[in-house]
Amino acid sequence: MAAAMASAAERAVLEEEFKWLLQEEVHGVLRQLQDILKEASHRFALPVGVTEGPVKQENFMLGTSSADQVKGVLMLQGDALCQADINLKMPRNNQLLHFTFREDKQWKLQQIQDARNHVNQAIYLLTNRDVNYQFKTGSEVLKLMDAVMLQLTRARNRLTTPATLTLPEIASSGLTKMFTPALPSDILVNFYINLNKLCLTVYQLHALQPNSTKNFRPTGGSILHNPGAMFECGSQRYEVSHVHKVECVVPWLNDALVFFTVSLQLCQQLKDKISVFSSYWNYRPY
Amino acid sequence: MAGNSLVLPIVLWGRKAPTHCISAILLMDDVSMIVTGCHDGQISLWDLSLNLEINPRALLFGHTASITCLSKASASSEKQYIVSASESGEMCLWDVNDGRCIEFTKLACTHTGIQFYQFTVGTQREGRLLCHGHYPEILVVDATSLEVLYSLVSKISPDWISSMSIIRSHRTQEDTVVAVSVTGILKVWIVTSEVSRMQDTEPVFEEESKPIYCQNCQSISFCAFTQRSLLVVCSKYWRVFDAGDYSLLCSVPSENGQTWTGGDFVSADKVIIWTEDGQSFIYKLPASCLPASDTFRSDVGKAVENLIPPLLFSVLDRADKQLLICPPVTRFFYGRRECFHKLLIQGDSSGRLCIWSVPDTLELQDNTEGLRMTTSTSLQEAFCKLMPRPAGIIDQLSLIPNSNEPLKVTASVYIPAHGRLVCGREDGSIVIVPATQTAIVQLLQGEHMLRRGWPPHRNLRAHRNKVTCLLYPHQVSSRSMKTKSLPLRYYSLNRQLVDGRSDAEGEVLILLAL
Repeated sequence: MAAAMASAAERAVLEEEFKWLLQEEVHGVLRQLQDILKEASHRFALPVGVTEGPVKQENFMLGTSSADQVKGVLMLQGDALCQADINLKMPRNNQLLHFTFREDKQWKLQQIQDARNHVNQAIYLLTNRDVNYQFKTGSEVLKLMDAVMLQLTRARNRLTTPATLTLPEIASSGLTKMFTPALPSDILVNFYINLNKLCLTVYQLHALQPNSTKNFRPTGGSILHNPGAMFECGSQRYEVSHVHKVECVVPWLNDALVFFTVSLQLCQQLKDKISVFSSYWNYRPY
Repeated sequence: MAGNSLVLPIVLWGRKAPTHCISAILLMDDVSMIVTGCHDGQISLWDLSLNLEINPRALLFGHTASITCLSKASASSEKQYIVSASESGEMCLWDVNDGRCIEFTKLACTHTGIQFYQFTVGTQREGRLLCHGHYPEILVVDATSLEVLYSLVSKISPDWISSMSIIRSHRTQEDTVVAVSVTGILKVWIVTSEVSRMQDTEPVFEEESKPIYCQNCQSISFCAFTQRSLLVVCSKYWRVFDAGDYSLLCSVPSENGQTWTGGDFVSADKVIIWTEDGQSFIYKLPASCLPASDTFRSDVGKAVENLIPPLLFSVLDRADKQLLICPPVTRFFYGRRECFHKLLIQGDSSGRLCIWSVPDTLELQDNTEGLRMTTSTSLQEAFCKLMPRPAGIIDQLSLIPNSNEPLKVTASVYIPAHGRLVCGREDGSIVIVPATQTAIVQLLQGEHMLRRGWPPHRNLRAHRNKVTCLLYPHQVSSRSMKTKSLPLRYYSLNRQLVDGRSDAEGEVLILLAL
């Protein structure tokens, strides 16, 4: 396989191999990719366009161990939490607080919608490249694979990288106003997706007195804030005294992430196969 | 840049034009310039003469990812500003007269479309950029500072927006923004100058949210001629809606497995729709779609299959079907110069621009020829037309006997500490030249032109195939080479490979110690 010694006959064989790659192998891989991505898209279980069917609802129990001070039952419908039932055991007085979403209130998990849209973009890129389409050059395939891989990487990143929010942003997110009974002013709640898990974080705050000797340093944005983080909201300064985080694996998110990984591998392998030939095309005898 | 010194970069391009796989096109309002963005992040400015001759003038560098959209960013009579957005969320504001980048910002999300929106507040003219992309709202950005001011959000089924159109009302103070989301829901926002003047970041909710069941919407255009219809182009069909109540007037499916990628109104009764392959079709709308006709809206309420179809008027096709590695970008523009130009401009992956001038009075084409392309050029064509040919940095040392083309440079590294440029070439040789002196040879006249083989250089021969990689570790990390003064030496990572017995010979890494 020494490129330096490739004779005319060997190069003819290489060209035949490349033609086979473009005409047969590429379509086989694209077919596989489409099937996997369609499975991934179905996992997101959202009605798209005309087929407005009932979207399945799933319940997730967060904080099932007896040691957890926060317990939640969340109902996820597609990309939104349509019901939330949260029990919070206050450490100071062991009082049990209970909150639920107000009727007809939903909290949209933008991460899920974005991931779904990226998967659909990837599927769209592949739709017009079925068996009837003829690829003329390797570069065309490489460019298509790059575009598909970009969408899949984005889809995966949306699930693995929740937004970094500052505490004032969490306080003003509108989530605090969605509960009944109303959340006390010293409790903040946040939901997000982290990898394949649905996470609920509860921050217990204590108000800092204006004449407090503590050195006030507002904390920046973070996915999860730690006790001791400080922020200012309106004219009141707060410090986080307790942080509770409970989570639950969402099986279909797990499936989707596996599909993304497999698809990315398929794309990369196809790219590698095409790239092997590119070194031959640039060969010039010395 | 500090102080008052101005650094003007000069480029020695060499004979081969840079690749320019076009991903976005914009025609400036005065029809004097075309701006194209490419998948590598560069923006090219092409001058357009009065008789539609295209001449590439400049290449703007700045973005690190492929350009997703371009838009004008100032009213045409003032300075010529444009805004560009890339896949990585970067937004740049450029002055296209001199190619300066005026403003730069980076957002967390990718824009897929930007439109300029101008309104007058008293005597002040304010500019806004309405952006949509991989996020569930329309961002209203200040056109001068690129700061996000507020956003147009949806209460009902919020989702990414596929395409958007701004409808300016001549009668009232209220302008309308019409958009289609990725789930095929039409959204309408009212934007007034008071809203636009708002300093706080309260979101603006939609006026109307109507499912129109349009999957994969590629573009939405408002008919400036009739002020009454909307053209929505999706990948498998295109449709015309009544802009008053958004009812469907006609629908045309795509044929032969083609995919529509966009379209626009050419006149009150004709539309032009283009495909992923680069073909464009002009249709004449049936009377049921024309407000001026008696049978306007006669098809409203009928099933899609029963709507009267438009008539195919003309086909515009590319003259040479060069192999493309990705779909071309096509856009339709109305010019605003002495001769009222209607131009269809297409840019493709080979760095080629094609222009079709659509005449005002279109004749129904009897023959199969279709409307012919008016003009076309590519970056490489423009390079080839130049006399003398554009020079490469070591052209004078790269002469091949019996060949017009110089020996190609396939890898290079510049070492500022020693002022040396090291070039690896396709025949396996490596040339080390003093950088400024070699640039002088190409740019300035002088005594050196009489000397052969100037500037003094070293020519290293060890490889048999093209050099694919060069590395000067000392530049990357000063601790990587412990000795300070070493004679010029080169190392190859695996001695065996130099013998040429392995096929991976071309990938040997050479380390230089200077």
